[in-house]
Amino acid sequence: MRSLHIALSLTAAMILILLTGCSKEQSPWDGVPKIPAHVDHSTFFEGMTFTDGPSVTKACMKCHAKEASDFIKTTHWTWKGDTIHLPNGKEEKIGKANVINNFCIGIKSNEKHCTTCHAGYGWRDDSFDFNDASKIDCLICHDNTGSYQKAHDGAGEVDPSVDLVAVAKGVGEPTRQNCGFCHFRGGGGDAVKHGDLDGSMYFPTERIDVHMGRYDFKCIYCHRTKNHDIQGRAMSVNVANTDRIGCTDCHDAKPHKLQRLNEHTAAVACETCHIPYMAIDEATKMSWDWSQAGQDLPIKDHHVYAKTKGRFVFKKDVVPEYYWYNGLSGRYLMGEKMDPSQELQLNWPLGSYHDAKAKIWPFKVHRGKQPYDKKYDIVLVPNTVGEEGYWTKFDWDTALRIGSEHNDLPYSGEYGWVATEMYWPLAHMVQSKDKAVQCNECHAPDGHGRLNWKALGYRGDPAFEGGRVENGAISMDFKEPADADVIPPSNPSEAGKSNGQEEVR
Amino acid sequence: MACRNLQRAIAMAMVLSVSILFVVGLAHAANRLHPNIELLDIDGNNVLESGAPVSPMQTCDGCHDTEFIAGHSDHIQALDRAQHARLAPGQPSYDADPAAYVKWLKAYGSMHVGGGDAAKAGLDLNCFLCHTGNPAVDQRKSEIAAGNFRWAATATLANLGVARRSSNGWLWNPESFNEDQEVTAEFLGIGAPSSDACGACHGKVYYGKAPLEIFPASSNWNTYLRGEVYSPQRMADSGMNIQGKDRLGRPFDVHAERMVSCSNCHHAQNDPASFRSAQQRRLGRLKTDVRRPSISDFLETPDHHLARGWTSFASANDPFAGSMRRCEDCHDVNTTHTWLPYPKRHMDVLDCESCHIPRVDMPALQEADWTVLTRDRQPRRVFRGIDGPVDSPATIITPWQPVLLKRSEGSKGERVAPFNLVTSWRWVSGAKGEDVSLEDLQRAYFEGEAYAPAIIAALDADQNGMLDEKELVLDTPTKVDVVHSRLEGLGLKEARIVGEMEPYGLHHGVASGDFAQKDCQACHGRQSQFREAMQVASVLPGDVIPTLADGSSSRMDGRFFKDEAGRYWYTGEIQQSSLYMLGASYNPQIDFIGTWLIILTLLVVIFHALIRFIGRQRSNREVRS
Repeated sequence: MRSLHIALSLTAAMILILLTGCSKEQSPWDGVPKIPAHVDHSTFFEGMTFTDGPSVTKACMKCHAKEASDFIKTTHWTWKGDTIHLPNGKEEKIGKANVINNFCIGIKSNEKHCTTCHAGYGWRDDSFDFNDASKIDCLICHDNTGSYQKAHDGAGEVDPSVDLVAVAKGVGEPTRQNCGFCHFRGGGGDAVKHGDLDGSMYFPTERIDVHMGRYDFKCIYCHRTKNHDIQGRAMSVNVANTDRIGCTDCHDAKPHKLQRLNEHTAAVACETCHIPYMAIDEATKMSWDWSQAGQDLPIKDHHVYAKTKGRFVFKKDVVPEYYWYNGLSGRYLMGEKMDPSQELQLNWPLGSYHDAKAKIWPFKVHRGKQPYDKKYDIVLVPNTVGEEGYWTKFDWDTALRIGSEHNDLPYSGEYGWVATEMYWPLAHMVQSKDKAVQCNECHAPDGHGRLNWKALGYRGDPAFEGGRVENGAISMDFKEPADADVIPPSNPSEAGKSNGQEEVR
Repeated sequence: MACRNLQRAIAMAMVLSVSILFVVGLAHAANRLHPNIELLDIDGNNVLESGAPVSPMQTCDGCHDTEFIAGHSDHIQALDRAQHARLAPGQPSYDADPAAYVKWLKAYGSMHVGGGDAAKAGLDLNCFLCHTGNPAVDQRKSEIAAGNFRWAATATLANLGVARRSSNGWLWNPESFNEDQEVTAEFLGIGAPSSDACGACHGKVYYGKAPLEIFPASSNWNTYLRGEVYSPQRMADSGMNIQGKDRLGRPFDVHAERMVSCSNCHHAQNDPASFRSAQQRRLGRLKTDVRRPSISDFLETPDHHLARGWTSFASANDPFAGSMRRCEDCHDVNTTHTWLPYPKRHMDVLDCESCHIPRVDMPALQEADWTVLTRDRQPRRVFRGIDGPVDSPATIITPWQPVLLKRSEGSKGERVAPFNLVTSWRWVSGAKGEDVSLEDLQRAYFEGEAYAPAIIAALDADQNGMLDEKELVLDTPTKVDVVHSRLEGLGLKEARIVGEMEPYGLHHGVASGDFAQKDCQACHGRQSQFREAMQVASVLPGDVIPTLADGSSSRMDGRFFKDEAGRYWYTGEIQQSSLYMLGASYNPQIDFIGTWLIILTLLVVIFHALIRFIGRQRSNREVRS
């Protein structure tokens, strides 16, 4: 009997060993969500007519009431994300709805134009009811027919030409076209805002993005969704580092065969090597000078000049700029006093050579020149849309006065132009290893590589001078924290304050 | 002189005080510690004052023993090697015929660093060519071609603006000099030779961002003969029309991509940072010899026998053969080749290049036929790895596979390495078989600017009065006789054609593990790479079968054959090379013995089983009874 027990134990142990030994290695595909097949809606809505967008939403909510109540809590609906603590003791949620950028500058007073990209209907002004779920635009994300359109300057309302029944019957999981409708065209046109998101990604080849081109990835494979809250974080409007998407969601943290490459991952983000260029096919806007607007210049190329907007520089196949980034960022907030003689960073990555959590990241840096109040030294938001807007009257004073009223900003009547910068970390247009940045491109002779080592804080090229650990900048036993361990800054604009900025609002 | 001694002392003191930093700096950057330089002419006067050409021998002698360098540098012997490579057969030395030598120097001196025989003609050793940041190679070449040998070193500094050519000759630019009439070392980019500097003569080295374009016929030596390119650029990003280019995601050379420069492996013999004695002199019991020359000794007398490997034509007596850093000096096969069965056995037999240069994606010379001259008075050249005109960017480059040959590697014995086979034919004359000079050959082929009528009559197959590429070949006795008689007419007795084949080892253009040969069947299969045939001649001029060139350290164990089209091929024979390769080798005796061993074993087993069966039967019967 004892022998039988031993034999059985040995057999069980062997089976266990075999099963463990033969288990499949972890594959990046394990990280790709298994999206359930979508229910075919083509037989639904028979005999129904939809007069407007909300009528479709109400029909959707008959089955998807929970989804609607979930959605109105998300940033795609509120356009506000992180809660920050202001120096005056108040708390405020910031997001796309209330921060300033150096493209079209600000939303308030321009809602009917900007909210064309809102997943809702009718956000014209502050009276928009963010608790009314019937105003949710389900179709902008779920239309699979390709025929859905929003009206121009229509505050997100449906274009009258759209056959809403046909679109409702053709809903499905979000495609690249759905996401791209807004995210590829941010800033008012294709490839304007993002250097790594543009129309070339609707049907990309591998040359544009290895995930989307070689494997036909949809956006939602990486931007996973829970209760309609879509994972991902835009540094342009947010400051915290929670809920970020990372390559390591699918790939191993040390994915290379070569030890030397794996050693890079402590200081270099995957994107730094695997996004060697941005704007691969479509030129992206690199600078925008509002001060030149309003002139009748004989320039017909709208990538160079527009009377309504000023002068631009677009570039294609651009080598990114590289900075330390620990996932947190600083932000200039509306109403903050600034120094107009200095280039103003509207947002900036936090992290440094001495910050063990920081890695070198690739950025698109968009440089602008935009209006500010000469008396109060604050950046102003012009009203550009509408009958009194700058795009109609070409009158800066009127535009800034109206914009300031809507944004609760003081306006002295005297305005000037301040140079600004925005930092956009790159995460798309990922290239496979045979197109990634090569060793010599950064560790180049005579310091002519992609990276300016000294500006980053190194003594010199770390291949020869040693890295952060060898030079005592960070501890050798540092372990990368999980996202959940990282706390958002109490005041994202603190770094800006240390430069003499203060709030005047 | 006292001033120069003081300068030397200061320089030495600086160097010694920061020696450790200096060693690190040598590896990759211009030397920031080098003192400012007073450019001196041949008489030791500052060139700004004299207006005379700069003499590197005088200028650098302040700190470095230039007489020592000029006295032994094997770069100075390069002209003799150029002769060997059939660039210009039959050229006399300076002492034998100064005038002829000067003429030859004008044509080929730009490929020489100066010094030695060339110094007697006025082309002095030019340190700037290798040790400055941006040498003006083309301007130097122009001066040499014009016979202005004395100004060649000055012209080398033209890119830096230190000197410029005016209508009255070369002028020094005072703005490049400081108040002490010196030039800063940083401005000159003084330092260890960069890979670009080596590439100026040795082969294509390219670190640029623009798509690389190379024309093989006008390329430098290693690119021309071997198809080697030292560049980090990925082939897919190049401007070359390479077959299957979109899949060529590897750089032209992985070491270039990973910041290894030429001098990292081909270092000065007594460079304390890289020092290691030549393999023949290494002590077998020591992994490394920590005793080093001092930095001051090295800087004063830097050994310019640059470390080298086992080149095809390394003399058995070359004390520096095998002195360079080889793959195994940096890479540990046991940690990188865990997938490979019997790694030591493979490494004992194979050079790393055999697998890590699995193919060449650039054209390389296949034939140089000096028995005929093309319209531009050059030999007929045929390149492998290209399907059409060699200097057209539209021509498709067809990657080719090197031939695997055994070569002698000193105490390591023989190992297999990849080679390109280059065949050449030339006319020789006299009982000793002296090379017919290019000038004599030109006189035989041309009258004035055109081909001689007799040559056209003999070679013009289509009777159109012109000689095209296909017609320019001595493939019949009649054609050979015509040229022969014209050479005899020039007084060259016993003129005859000789042919040689030279294997050129491939050591650059290295692929990383991802792109190396990892298919066992490539060597061990029936269609083994060792048996791969390589074309060595499109025709045989004068029907002369080429012989292996003297002095080659490689061994050709295969056989030659001629195909139906008259092309001449070489194919390896594994058995003749005394290699036994599992799967690829076929030995009838072993097969015979193996077969009979199996049969006998089976018979013995059957016999044994039969005996036991019969024994059991008998035993059972006895029990029953």
